Amino acid sequence: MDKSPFLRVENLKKYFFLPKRFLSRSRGKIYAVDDVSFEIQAGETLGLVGESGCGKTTVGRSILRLIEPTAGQVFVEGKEICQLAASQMKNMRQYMQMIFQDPYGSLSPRMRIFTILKEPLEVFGFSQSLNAKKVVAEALDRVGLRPEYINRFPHELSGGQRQRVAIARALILHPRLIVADEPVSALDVSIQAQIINLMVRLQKEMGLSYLFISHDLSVIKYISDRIAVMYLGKIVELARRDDLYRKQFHPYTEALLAAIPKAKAGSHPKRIYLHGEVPSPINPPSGCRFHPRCGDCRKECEEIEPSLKEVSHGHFVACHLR
Amino acid sequence: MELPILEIKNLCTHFITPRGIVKAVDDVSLSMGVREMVGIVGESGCGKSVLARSILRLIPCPPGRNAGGQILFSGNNLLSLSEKEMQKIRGGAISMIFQEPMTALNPVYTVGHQIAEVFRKHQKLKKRDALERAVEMLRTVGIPAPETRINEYPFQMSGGMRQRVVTAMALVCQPKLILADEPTTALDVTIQAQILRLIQDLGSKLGTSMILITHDLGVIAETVQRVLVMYAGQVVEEAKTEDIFASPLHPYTEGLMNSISSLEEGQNKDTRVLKEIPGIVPDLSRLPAGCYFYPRCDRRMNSCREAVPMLKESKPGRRVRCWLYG
Repeated sequence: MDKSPFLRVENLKKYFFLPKRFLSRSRGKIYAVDDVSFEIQAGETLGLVGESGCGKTTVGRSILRLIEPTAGQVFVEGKEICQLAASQMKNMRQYMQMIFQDPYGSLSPRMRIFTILKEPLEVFGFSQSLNAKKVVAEALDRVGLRPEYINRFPHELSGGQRQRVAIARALILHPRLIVADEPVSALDVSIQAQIINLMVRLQKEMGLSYLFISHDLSVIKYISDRIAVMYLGKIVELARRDDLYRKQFHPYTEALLAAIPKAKAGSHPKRIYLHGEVPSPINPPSGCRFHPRCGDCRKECEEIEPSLKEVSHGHFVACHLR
Repeated sequence: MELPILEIKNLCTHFITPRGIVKAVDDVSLSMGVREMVGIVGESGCGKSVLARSILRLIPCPPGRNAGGQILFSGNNLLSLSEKEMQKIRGGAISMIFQEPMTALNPVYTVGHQIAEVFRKHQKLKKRDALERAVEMLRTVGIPAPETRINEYPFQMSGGMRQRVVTAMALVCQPKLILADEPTTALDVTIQAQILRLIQDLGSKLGTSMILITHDLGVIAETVQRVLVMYAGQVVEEAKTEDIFASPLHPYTEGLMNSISSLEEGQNKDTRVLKEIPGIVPDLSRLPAGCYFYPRCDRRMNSCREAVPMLKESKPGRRVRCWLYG
C-alpha cells in the first residue's frame, strides 16, 4: 500500500445550485458530494456503495470531469487533472473510461456495433493507423461476443449483450481506470453473473483499476478489494472488504448490511430497522449527517461533524462513537 | 383442509403480435389457502406480472387474450364475471400493489384524494368521511403526520413514502387477496426492509393472503411460505420455501441459486468464479423446440429437445417440470 496510488481523490466536492427563487437573494445548494477523499491502486477495485441519492454517481462522474467538481483535486498517477485544459483532459480520457448503468441508454440506437466501437478510435486519431475492423473484432472477442455482431444494431441485442458492447467500447483504448456506474443493476440475476465474471477476467488480463459503483452490497462484496460506504455525500466508512464485512464500525454500515435479504430459507438475521428515510441533501442535518436515523445518537453527534479517522489498519470510519 | 381462497387452473394468457402468438402465461396452475403467502419468482419477461394482471383481468384485449383456464376466487370463476362485477372485485376483495410507485399514482391528484377514491367507490362513503379514513390508512402504513401528508402530491414524496401510499390504497377494503408485483424493487435496501415488514405485519393482522412477485430470491426466502419459479411463461418448479432453497430440483432454479450463492456466501473474485447460466432468456415468440430451458441447461439430454416436459408432482406439495424427474 506504500506505492503511489494510480488515482487519488482529495476533498472532492460537488454542489448543484438550485434555480434562484423569486425575490430571494441566495440560491439553494444540493450538497451532492461533500468532501470525499480516497485512493485507488493500480489493478485494484474500490467498491463505492450507498443508497440512491447518496452521491456515488456524482463522485464517479466528477472524477472523469464529466461534470466539473466544485472543489477538490483528482490526481492520476500523481498528475492533477481538475485544472487541465480541455485538450489535455481529452488525452487523459484515453486512460479513464466509464461504463454506464443502462445499456439501453448508453448505446446510440442509430449506430451499428462497429460504428459504436470505432468511434473512440476515431476521436483519438487511431482509426487511420490501425486496422479498425480488426481492432473492433478483437474488442468484441475480448468481451465474449461473436464477430457477426459487428454489423448489428443495439436493439438486436439483449441487455447482457449490450452491456458487453458497452464494456468493449470502454476498453478499446486500453484504459487503466474504469468507472463502472451500476454496470449490472439493470440486468437479470443470471446475466449479472456473466457480466461480473467478464469484468473480473478483464481486470486480471489488462491490469485495470475499477471504481465500481453499486447499491447492491452482495455484488460489491464479491468484486471489491476495498469498499467505501457513502451516506448523504460523505464517505462514512472505508475499509478492506474482509475487514468491513467482519466488523462494521459505523451504525449506518451495520444497518445497511443487515438489511440485505438473504436467499436462504430459515435464515432470518436480526435486522436493524432504520427509522425514517435519507434526509434531503439540500438541507443536510447538522453534525453527523446520520444522526436523525441513528440508534446511538449522542449530543455531540448533533453538533459536531465527525471526520474520517483510522480505527484499525486501513479501516476508516466517520463516527463519534468510535 | 379449508377451501382454497384462490385456485388457478391451467391459465393461458396469449398476446397476438405481428411476429406470432406469444404465450406469456402458459398453462399455469396454482392453489393457495387463506392467509397463505406465495411467491412467484423469475427473470424479466417470464410472465410473472402478466399472470398477476390476468387474475384481475387487467390485460388489454386485444392484443392480449385469455386462451383457456379458470381462475376460481372463493369458488367463483373470475373469467366468467361481467365487467361490472369484476370492477367490484378489483380493489375490493382482491387488490394489487404495483411496482413503480411513481407511475402507479396519478401525479395530478393528492394522495389523500387517491386513497379516498377507493373508499368512495367501494364503500360509498362521503368525501369528508373518505378523507378521514384515508388519514387512518396512511397512519396504518406508518407515514408520519398523515393529516398534512394527505394533501401532498406524489412528487412531493420519496420513493418509500409513495410505496407506502400504494400499499395503503391496496389495503383500503381489507382485501382477501393482495397481488404484490415487485413491491420493493424500486426501493433502497433499508427502505425495502421497512416495507416488507409492513406488508407481513398487515397481512397477518388482517388475515390476508398474498401473492408476492419478485425477481429477488432473498425477498422470497424471508417473506413467503411457498414458491413458484417461472421460466418463459411456464411454472418450472413449485415447492415450499425451505425445500427450494435446500434442494432446488429444476436446473434453472439451481442456476438461479448458484448465480447468487457465491455472492451470498462471502466468496470473492479471488476465491471463486461466479457460476453463471449461459445464454439468454428465449424470445417468447420463437421458443426452442422441446423444453424451453434446453439451450441454457447444463444437464440437458437429447430427449429434452423432443417434447415440452409436464409439471409433475415429485413429492407432495412439490412439482417440477423437467425430464430429469420423469
